[in-house]
Amino acid sequence: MDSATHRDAGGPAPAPAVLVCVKQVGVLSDEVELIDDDRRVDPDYLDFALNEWDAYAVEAALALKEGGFAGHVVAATVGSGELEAEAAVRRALAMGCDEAVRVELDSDDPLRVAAELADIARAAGAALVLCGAQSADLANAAVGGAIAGLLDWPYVALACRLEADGGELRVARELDGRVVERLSVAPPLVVSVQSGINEPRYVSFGQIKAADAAEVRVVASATDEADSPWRLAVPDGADGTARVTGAPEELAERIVALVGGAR
Amino acid sequence: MSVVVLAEHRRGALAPVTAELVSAAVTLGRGPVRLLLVCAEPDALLDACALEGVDELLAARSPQPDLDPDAARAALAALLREQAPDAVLLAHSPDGIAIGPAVAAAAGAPLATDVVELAAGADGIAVARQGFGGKLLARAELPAGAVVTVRPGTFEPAGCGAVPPQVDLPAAPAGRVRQLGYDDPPSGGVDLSGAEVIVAIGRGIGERENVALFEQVAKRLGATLAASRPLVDAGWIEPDRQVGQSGATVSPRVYVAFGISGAPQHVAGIRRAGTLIAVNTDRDAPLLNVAEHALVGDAVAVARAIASA
Repeated sequence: MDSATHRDAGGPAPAPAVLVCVKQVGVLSDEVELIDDDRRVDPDYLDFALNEWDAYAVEAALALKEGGFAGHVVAATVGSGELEAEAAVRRALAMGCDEAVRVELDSDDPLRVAAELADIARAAGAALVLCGAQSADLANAAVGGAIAGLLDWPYVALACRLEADGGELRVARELDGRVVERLSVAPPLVVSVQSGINEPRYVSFGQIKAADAAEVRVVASATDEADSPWRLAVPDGADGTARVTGAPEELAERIVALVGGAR
Repeated sequence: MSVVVLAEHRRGALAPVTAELVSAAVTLGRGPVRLLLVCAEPDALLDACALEGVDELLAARSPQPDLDPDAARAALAALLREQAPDAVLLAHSPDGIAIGPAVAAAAGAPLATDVVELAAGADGIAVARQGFGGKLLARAELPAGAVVTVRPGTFEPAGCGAVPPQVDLPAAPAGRVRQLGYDDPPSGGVDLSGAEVIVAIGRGIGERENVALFEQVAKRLGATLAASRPLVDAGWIEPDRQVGQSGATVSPRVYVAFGISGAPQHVAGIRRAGTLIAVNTDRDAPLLNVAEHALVGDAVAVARAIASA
């Protein structure tokens, strides 16, 4: 607070830092094995990719920086393992983020993940936290809100437009049925970003190579270990019951008959 | 013992999902059901809040007309502290997700989101939610005091009841997010809500160039062409053709889905469809689990066969 007051006296304050939260999500292949007493999916049965919503969040952060609203952009992820979890922040670096942090912690608990990210937001002096609306794997849609709760910051969920308006942000958020709510809010705040808000930038091979060689700061978990109450199972009906197979022509015929005859 | 339900409302109307949450709270059987209403004019929504199973209406005035997330967070935090309810139920909706996780994190309360099963457990609250696009189900028993967001459509809505006794809570301070207004979708586009037959396409159609093929298929079947969200995000198809929670809710006689995996947000929009046919190369795609006719095959190859038949 003191330094902010000082800056106000001596000219415009520098643009605030932004934390963008990213996650490398697992995509299930055809088969699945559960491990750790049914707490987790065996990573051998998962393909990993940057969470789709997070790419939009990174793009939104970079656009705010380029527009002069945001300063330093820090990308952070919570996950164990250099190769898998870290790929998310390396992708964010390749897109143009200034700094990357990975918290060494393997947890599916969104409250615990949020606690780690809130710590990083504080340490980075961020005035804006951006994250994807949800992760494609567990889809809790909880981390952004939980960060806001821990920091006691306002939270805007499901942003589909995000524009700087002086020192404030004008945000449009997506409601059900294509209705959009328009809001105005001053930092600090947390925003979760809906898919389609922008077009995540193209990343060149050179940028990927440079990001692979860049430093990712790894920090130890600051939260306490807790036993997860969740147990996974393959739901009934997901075992291939009542599937119809056949040549494309046979399936086509079936559809035409079911629709009630083509016109 | 008690269960607190957050009433969702917007533009002067109570959201229908609130009645579903009241049903869920009654199912838990953990004492009185208290409906929390945070708004500028609680009196205007009193009649709508007269739902069967509500034992008490908690009214907190807030300066902004519509549900203000900051005001709701403050009111729920106070209730968790002072009344120690067994559970706090919200909808897994744009408003519920803007409030529930923040409340749980600030209070140190257990959290479960997008819950599709909810029942009284031996000690706490037994919940289930989906993961990996519906391919896995996760179950847990949460201790008392949990914050839960419930997927819309999971519970039958509670019917009308007597106007519950009202308890006024301290007024909420002005929130930090200013509500400026709403943009409704432009009128005059495609109206999917009245379509009798719908051909819907998803990521599984592979390439943008294939959209034209499915236009032919739709024409051949006398159907209206629709799509899942990713195709709209990618700009392959106009937004007014999107089916799902953030698009149109449809109730056609027949719904034919090509290459749509079946994210919960999409399924939410087709719950009232008559005959549901789904074509997908992935036999584990969640939509095939809910489809009446689950066809395993390549969407484009099947479409070509229909178009050229």
